[in-house]
Amino acid sequence: MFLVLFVSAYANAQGYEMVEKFRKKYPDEHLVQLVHEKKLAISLVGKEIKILSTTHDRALRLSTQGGGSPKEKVSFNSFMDLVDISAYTLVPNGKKFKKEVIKEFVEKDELSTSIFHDDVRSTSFYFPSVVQGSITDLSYTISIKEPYFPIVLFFGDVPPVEETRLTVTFPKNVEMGFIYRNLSENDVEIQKKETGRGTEIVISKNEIPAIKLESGAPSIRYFIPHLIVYIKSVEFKDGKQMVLSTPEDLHNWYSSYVGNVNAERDERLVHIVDSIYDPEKEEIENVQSMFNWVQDNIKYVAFEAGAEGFVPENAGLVCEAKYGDCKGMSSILTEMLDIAEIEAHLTWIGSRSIPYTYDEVPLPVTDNHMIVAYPTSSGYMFLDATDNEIPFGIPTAFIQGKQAMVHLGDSMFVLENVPVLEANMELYSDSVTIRIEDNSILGTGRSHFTGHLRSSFAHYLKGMEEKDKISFFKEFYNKGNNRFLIDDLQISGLDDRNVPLQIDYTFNIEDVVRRHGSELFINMNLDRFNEGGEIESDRELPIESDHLSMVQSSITLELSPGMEVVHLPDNSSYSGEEFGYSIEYFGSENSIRVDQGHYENVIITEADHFGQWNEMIKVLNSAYKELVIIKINE
Amino acid sequence: MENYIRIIVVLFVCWNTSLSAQDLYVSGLDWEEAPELHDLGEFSEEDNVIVLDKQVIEYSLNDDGFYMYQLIHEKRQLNSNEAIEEDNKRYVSMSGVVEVMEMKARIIKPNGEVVELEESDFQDAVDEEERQSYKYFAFEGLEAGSQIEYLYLLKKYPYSYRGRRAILQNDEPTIKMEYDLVSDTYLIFKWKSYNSAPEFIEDTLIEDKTRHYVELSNVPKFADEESSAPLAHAGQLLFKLDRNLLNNRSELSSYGPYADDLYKIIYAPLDKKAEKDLKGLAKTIGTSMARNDEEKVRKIEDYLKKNFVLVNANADQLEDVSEIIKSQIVNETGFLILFTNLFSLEGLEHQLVLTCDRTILPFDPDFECFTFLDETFIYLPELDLYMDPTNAGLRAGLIPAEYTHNNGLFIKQVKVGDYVTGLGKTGYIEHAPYKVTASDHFVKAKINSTMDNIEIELDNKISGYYAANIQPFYDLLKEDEQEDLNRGIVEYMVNDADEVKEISALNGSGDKMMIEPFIVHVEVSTTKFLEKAGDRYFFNIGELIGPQVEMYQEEERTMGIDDDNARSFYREIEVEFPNNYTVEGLEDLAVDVFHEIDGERSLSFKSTYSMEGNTLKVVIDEYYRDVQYPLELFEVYRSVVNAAADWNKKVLIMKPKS
Repeated sequence: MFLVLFVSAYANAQGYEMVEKFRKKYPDEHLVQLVHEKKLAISLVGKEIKILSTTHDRALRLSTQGGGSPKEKVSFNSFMDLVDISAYTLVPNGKKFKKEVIKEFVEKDELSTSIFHDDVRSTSFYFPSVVQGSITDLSYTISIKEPYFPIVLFFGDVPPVEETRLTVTFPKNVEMGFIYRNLSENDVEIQKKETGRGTEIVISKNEIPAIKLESGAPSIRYFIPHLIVYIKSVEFKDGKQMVLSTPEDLHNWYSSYVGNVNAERDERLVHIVDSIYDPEKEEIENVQSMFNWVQDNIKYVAFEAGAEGFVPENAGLVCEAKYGDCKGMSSILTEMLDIAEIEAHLTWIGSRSIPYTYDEVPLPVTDNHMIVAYPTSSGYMFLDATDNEIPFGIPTAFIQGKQAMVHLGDSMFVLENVPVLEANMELYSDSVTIRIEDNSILGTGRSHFTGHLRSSFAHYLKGMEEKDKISFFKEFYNKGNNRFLIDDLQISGLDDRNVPLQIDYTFNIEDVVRRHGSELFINMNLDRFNEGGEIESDRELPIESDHLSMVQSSITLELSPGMEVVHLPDNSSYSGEEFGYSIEYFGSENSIRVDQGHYENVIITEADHFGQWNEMIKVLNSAYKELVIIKINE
Repeated sequence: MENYIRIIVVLFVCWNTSLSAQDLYVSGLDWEEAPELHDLGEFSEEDNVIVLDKQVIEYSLNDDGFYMYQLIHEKRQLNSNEAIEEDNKRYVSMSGVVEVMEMKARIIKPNGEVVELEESDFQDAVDEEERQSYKYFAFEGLEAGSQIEYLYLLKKYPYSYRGRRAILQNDEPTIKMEYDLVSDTYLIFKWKSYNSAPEFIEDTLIEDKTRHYVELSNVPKFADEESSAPLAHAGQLLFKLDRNLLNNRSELSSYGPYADDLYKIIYAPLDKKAEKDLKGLAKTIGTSMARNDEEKVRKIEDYLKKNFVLVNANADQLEDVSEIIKSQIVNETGFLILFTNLFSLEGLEHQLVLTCDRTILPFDPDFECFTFLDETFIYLPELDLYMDPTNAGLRAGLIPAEYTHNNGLFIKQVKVGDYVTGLGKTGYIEHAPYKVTASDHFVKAKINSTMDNIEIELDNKISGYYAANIQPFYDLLKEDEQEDLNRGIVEYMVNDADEVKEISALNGSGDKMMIEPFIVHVEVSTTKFLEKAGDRYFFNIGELIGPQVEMYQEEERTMGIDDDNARSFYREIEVEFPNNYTVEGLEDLAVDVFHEIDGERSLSFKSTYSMEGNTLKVVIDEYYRDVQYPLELFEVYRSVVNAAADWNKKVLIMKPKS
């Protein structure tokens, strides 16, 4: 039942001048965060570690509606209990404020469309009377049941934050760890106090300006300063208990979740492996067959439910259900390989949204995914069957460049970096032959997609109706102008992940050839990659792509008898370490060809390269504006 | 609206509880004990085929009251991983459900093996805030070629007895479709079929119950075409309870009593405190400063939509005038109450209007059925304005377009002596005129003599539905968000420009909407509209109007045009050419494509030009006066749309004077 009961009381507050003060200080802001505070209280009861984490947020509305919805939500999962929550609005009332306390909170199961079983619950409520000058105040305390989960405090938010503060209290025999990201100890104020019962550390920073988010930027963990606080160890009388201090500690803890997985062989799975395994083939070919079988037969479904979030499902159960989360899919693949006596290992990894390595941050916040590592003579091959279109041997795009923790045994592991697939493996190539008929162009083309491009195109195309495929590629190619129409389209390689996706098509484009007297004018740059790709000059945040990329396009115009080339534009190119392009014209008696090549060699383009990028786009744009002139001899 | 319906149920039906319980027809229905894979016939190439779509609705009055029993029995074949992905989970809303009498599901694998889901596979989720709960289950172990089958029987509050819709088509092809309407024999239903849906057939063999049914086979999936309303073309049966022979009450689903009932809820007398609070609110809004009635309406609307938070929840205080004013939190009914009370206080004549989405099925004035009373709006007859009290992105003069060009039930206040009540009458809700919704471009360009720069000034004026969700929220954005928005609107002009000298917006606030257009002004230096060929230049003048919607691809068309709203695009372009170049190709700029209905242009794209000295002036007027065009006018419609897209490619050739 949704119910908000208001209890009125007059609170002592500084008065309405405060609003005026902040409106002057932040004339463009609708909201100012007055306090963002976390308190972490650690205590010991016998050998049990008690952790209470309190969050306190206090915000002032500088305008009535611009500050966003007055709805608030606190989310937690089964590793946590919500111990206490209180919230109120201070409503301006003359020179004072009137306090309206929220008495009831609504709990709900979070139904996520991407996650099927889910233990996330939330408590939500509306702040009443949120008008200009209102102050909203929320405090809640969560009890964290496992000592392995760190708390993270961000220094900075979309509104400006006046006070950001972390208070940690812990007994003397507890050792705490502090990891600073995107800031250092020198950027904050630290106060340390020793008391009879233990230590209190207060870390704070005031007046943090508003952070502007920009589209296409990497996750906020890449650039917003934050602090990760965790328990390293506890010194008991009978010895030291390590919690999480090193990657070894993290691996030890993780091992306890995977130790009992696949303890028993599943007979059905043994039969399946028998039917797939071919002793005549090389080992790696058998690995590929097993990997493809998992991609074909096990559907990926995300789970997030308490300890299940850490324990992989037994391979037999995954096989029966025909679906699994990343851990279930890794479990069945390692088990199948084990049945075939091929070495492979469960492997933890974080997606690219988490910019940490295990060396830097040996904590469960560093990963959110599981894959399989298969050792080859040239190092580990990382297998991620959660993408059922990924070609064998290629890591999924979102884990490229990340450090992985490969589980070799109970206290054995190795940290390895997942490679980034090179640009020439992420190739889109397109080769087109055209001829002119009146003011139109008729042409045939063939394209190939490899690497992650192949898998994303395969995802789009599967399940798409035929006529939608035509409109999809009409949009994708859009050669010349939007009069580009596809007459015929053939897609091949869609059912074999390990070959490039191939598109054969014929097309026509009306109104793209201009005739003037006895001359024809045609812009041979029917494809204009990166046109409109200029980066805004005031952009500050880097830009992240899913993967590297390379484009090779070749357009050949076959000349009819009587046609003579009188003008070919100059070639144009830009070649940088991180990105570049080239446009080259080739003329002969019977044809004109223009070749375009483009490459991007970095996943994250940092802001200091934007200038070069824009310079390149400028040159490229003027190259795109050059026409070929053909004379018609009657 | 559920609250009101519940009251009506109590008033008209539930007093007949002296009856003994009758056996339910639905409880005798089950799935086959030994299921088999079904032959897909003509749909064998499809990914996802509904083998059986059966629904039985039974209304019955028994010991514990009047309830609706709903049986859903579906069987589907999933032939690809994508189809499995889409359909391997089912969420069943428990909204209005009193009891889940049965729920089961099974898989028939391609090899014929049958796996039934266990009780523990059916799980619950609750969302207390939205007052929604769900049962959900997932089919595990599916492989391509599997069939999934589920059957559930729900006992529900009979909210829908005054109007329920059966849509006899799905978004996937259906081999067998069955829809049954069953009731106690003394409950008499009326129905009407739309879009050549079959009529209900009476089951003459059944005893103790009345049963009507339709059966269809091999029903293709909905067509999917641009600017069309496939649902409004699908076969539909609408039915409603008309009579109860036990108490001799008839016209149980007529609008009359409902109008009265709704009126009593929305216009319930206010207590002294509420009256005082309401006057206080009017003072805060400053209604007395308004120069006329329209300004009053707009002030009230803008204030309430900007300052009150709409929540989707049921609670008394969200509908109580004093509580709403205090907390500024309100639900949909609360907003209606607040608006109408403020209008009454200010002496603004108004009516409630109830109607439905015409893209699902237009309101039928000849068949009173509550399915048509889907949304409530306010009509101000003196000003001839419709308004949507809950949509913060719209202002009076606009309600969601799919509810216009449709009939509706108008409820107005009638006084009979001292007795005040609401009287319902059906009438037509006009769509907003084509000039209201516009995106107009005013461009001034000057090309320099060295052909390496064009100075351009553009005003893009946006109004009506095109300004909805932009104009009223603009001043709530931060400066950088406003800039991003401005850039997004004139993207074609600023992208890759050499220099953006100015970009700004005018009239970005809710109180300006429907009075002034939202204007984005931009000034750039650019070369992007020039292409070079040796010593000649091609000036892409067409690109100055920005990219246009096109319908070039020819596809077989089966439905007429159903646009959301009428609309207009007016452009004035002025180009100053350098003295040292000649300009050719001007004659191509004049285009006139149109269609007249009753001697008046209904669809039109007309461009004209004039050259004075070095200055070219072009005027383009494009508009779509109506929202619906029959199938036979499709090609005409297409030619007007494409005329604009063609104009976008117009080019002038510039040659150096020798």
